[in-house]
Amino acid sequence: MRTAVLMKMQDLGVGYDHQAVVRHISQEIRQGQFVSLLGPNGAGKTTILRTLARLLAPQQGTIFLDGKNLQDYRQADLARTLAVVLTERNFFGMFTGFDFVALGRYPHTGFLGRLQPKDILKTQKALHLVNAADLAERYFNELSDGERQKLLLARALAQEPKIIILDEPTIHLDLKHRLEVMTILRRFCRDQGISVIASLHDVDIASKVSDIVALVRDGRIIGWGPPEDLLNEATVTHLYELNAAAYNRWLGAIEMKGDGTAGKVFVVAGGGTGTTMYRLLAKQGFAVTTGVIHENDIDCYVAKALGATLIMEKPLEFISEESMGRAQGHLNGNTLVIDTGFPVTGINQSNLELLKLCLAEGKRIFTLREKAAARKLLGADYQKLVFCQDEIGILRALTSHH
Amino acid sequence: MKKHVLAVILWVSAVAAGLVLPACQPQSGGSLGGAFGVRELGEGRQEIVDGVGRRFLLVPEGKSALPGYPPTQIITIPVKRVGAGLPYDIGAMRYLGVLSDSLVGVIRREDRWASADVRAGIRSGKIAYLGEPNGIDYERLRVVSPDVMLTSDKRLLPKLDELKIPAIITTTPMAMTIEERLQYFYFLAALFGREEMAKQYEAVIQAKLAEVKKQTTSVSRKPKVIWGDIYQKRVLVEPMNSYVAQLVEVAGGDYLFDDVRGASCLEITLERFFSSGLQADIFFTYRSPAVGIDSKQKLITENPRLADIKPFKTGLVYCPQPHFYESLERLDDIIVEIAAILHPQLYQGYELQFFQKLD
Amino acid sequence: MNLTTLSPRDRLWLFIAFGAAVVAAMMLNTVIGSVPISLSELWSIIGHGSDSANADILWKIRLPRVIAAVLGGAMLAVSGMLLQIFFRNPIVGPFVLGISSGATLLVAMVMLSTLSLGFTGVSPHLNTLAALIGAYGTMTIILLITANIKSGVTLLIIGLMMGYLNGAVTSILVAFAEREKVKQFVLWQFGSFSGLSWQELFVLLGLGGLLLIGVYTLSKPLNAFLLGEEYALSMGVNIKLFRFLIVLVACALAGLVTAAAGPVAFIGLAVPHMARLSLKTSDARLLIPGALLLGAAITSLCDLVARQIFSPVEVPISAITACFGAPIVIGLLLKRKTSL
Repeated sequence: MRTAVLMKMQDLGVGYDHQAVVRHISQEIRQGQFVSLLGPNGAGKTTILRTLARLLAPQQGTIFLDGKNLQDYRQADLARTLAVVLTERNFFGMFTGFDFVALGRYPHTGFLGRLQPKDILKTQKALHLVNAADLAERYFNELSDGERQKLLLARALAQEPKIIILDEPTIHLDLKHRLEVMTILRRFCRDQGISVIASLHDVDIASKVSDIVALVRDGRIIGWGPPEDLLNEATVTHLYELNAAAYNRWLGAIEMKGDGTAGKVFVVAGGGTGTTMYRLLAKQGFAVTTGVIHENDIDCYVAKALGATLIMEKPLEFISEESMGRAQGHLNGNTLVIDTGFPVTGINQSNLELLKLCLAEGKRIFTLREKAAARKLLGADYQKLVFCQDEIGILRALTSHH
Repeated sequence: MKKHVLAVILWVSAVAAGLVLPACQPQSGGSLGGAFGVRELGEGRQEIVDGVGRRFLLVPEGKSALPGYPPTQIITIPVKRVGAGLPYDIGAMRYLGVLSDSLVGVIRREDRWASADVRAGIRSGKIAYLGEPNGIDYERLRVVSPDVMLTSDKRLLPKLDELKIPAIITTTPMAMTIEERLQYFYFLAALFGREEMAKQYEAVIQAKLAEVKKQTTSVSRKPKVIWGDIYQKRVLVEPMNSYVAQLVEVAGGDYLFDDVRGASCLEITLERFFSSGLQADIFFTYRSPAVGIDSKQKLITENPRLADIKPFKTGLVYCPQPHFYESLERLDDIIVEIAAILHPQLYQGYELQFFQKLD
Repeated sequence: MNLTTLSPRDRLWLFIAFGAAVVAAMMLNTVIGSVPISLSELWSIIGHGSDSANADILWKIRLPRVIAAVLGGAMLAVSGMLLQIFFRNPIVGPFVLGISSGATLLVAMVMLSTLSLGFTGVSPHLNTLAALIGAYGTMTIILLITANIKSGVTLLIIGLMMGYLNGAVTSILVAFAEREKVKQFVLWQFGSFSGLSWQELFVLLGLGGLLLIGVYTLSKPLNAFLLGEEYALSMGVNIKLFRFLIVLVACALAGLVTAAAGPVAFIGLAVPHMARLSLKTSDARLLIPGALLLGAAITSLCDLVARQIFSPVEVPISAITACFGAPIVIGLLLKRKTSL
């Protein structure tokens, strides 16, 4: 379903003092769309937002809002069409949550700003929509950052705009409020038909809530489109110039790469049993090799994002001789071996063979398996295993072994 | 939190009380803590107490000092070289006959002085110019290096101590009582070894006061007098315990601000001034042609609310002539002049020397 | 601090209490004075007229002062409130924009320089005029300098710097002036509601009244301004016009009082806080009348203390207002860590 175009940027250049920070923006924002601006700090996300909100004059080009040049709007008319939420959450004075949200009625009230019954109703509705009805009677300056942010959203909503522009709406918020704020914003788009433009520092969240992401870098918009099309390891790595982390489009998340200086580890995993182990090892700086993993296994995505060396097998096929050979190639020398306690099924039977081989060679294996289960799978040799409670236990055993 | 505020309030009130209460004590001779006192210590040594209660040891030339005094509070007498700032100190030195020999430096430019001897001294270079009251020229003061500096400004003390110049604080003469003025003469005379002159001064003044008092007791009606300054919207008056108020009473006048006490001219409420002004026959003011006030009308324009007070309508307004401030030691002549102003019928043909009438 | 909101009825009672305090303070100020006037005499003077000395005292001296204190206090408090909102800074008073220092400088020129010798006494309103010109001159310079500067903090700092400049020139004038003139100048600097003529009062009442009403019409943008200039802009406030108006009105209010009574400290700084904390709101529509009434009541009471505590000797009113205001400001600053 394609909605009408609400905002249109034509060869827009934004910046300060006749110096454009970002140029040649020609894009459209439709009704009810959630647009996220992504990009490194200083790329000009805030400058773009401030220009779209008319807090800054464009350095070149034109912005059309609802078919009319943004610069031609009367201040009051603009206020009824466009609301902003800035990063500032400290305000001078004493007002309750209700008072604060009611300020959003400013462009709709009369000369002295007296609230009519309909204004009170709309203020209450806005409070409800952001799950902040309980904050109405509390003083703004006594609330937490997250609670304040909800009131800021409600205030913008009370303005009854067609578009809300937000600068870093989740910055300094705890996880609960970060998710809550994003949920509320999605609700604005879906239920109220309001367009939302926000700069976000969190690719994970942006990819999950946005209809459109805009990638801002090097004074240009280097990408504009649905996150599903646009966000992959290459674009995100380029956007943020990542070298110690990688974005995984299937996980929709950033993983931190290890630098591999703490030693080599071979992890025998599969069926998602390796994810926590990989992250922990990468965090501690181990160079991780893992195998043999099937391509559609969650372990595969995580290990890849973490920059681990992977020995992969095609999905739903038995592990081939060739893969086994590559795995054995990596198990030379004093490589430490970890057994994540993966479930042994028909197609990954070979991984069990891999463990047996290691035991036979006298390699030390750290395992998360229960003793009884290990005995059943590995026979008498099971006693040579180093049994650990959990991933942290393995890490401890590893470091003491060194 | 409340505790903090409470603490601050308590502290401020304590400081305020500490500042205000002593200032409101009438500063008669006794309460000054022996200011301008002189005590014999034997062998010609004396101890004097200055206006802020500091004790000085006066040691005759050739005698040894006594322990217990800081170096800058030991003065060899008679002193020969004196720096001064207050006109009253200089007037007193003139009376003691030591002005021409001993005054080596003054504060204020030549044209700010009215006395011919001081002006001539500054012109000839015999008396050095040491700067202005708000900016002492310490370098010249160091070059002149007087044996003693007479000043009213306590702020000079640290620097003068550093320069090893003994500084004696002579408090503002404006509100001192007659008794204090006489005592002050003994105090100053001790520095110069002129105790005899001080005794003589006291005798002359007491005699003149008695004479004037006697002469004016015969009058049937005491003229009502107020003494103060009118500024835009505000008024300052001489308190009851000032020497001018005493002089008015001695001269057979009725000083109306008998409920005002303090160390110097004080601001009082306009309505208090007005209520006394309505009855007063004579109004003395320090505002004079020298500061642009040369008529009653000028005073009225300063503060039109006071246009109706009696001195402006039917009474008399007097202000000092410029040399008055440097002639304050002539109490005997001043008391006669005040009596002559209060009772013209008793002093027919008297010509004003210190005051002038504003019309 | 645990805040609970006030119901409209609680606020109404508070306003009634403030109003009663103003009336009570005015009555006290009318009844109590350094010249005792009995209630019955007071009544007959007011009711039937009289040409006695006490009638003169009442009509020409006491009542003008009562009115001046009420009016001056109200104007200073509202001026301070405007500037605190404008700068979104609780430690700002009416005198930050060089209003006081500019007035002081011009008054110093009139009072202290030899230029004015010929004028002294020519016009009793010369000081008043000088104070107004000084306040507005400094303000105009500041507004010119800051025409394109958005940040309130920058404006604040430029105001402070202008204050120092004015102070510097004033101190040079004092250094060269004669003692007698300095005395007069120092007296003016103390500030006092004493001695205003009815003519001056009518000016104060007329202009001040108009300005206070004008301020009330600014309530709506003032509320929006609490969130900062950018939010105010985004809500439809004409920032440039509003900035101009708020500075103009705040300076006019404080400038008029300063011209009439000299600088009176702390009322403009402390009273807005008291109004805010007692009414528990920053809503300008409540705060303006609240600050107005509280300013009037507190200034009246301070004036009463100033003239009665050591009667008939006057204590400078700024001394009383500062003794009352400083602890409050310190307390607020300490508390600011958690709120405000």
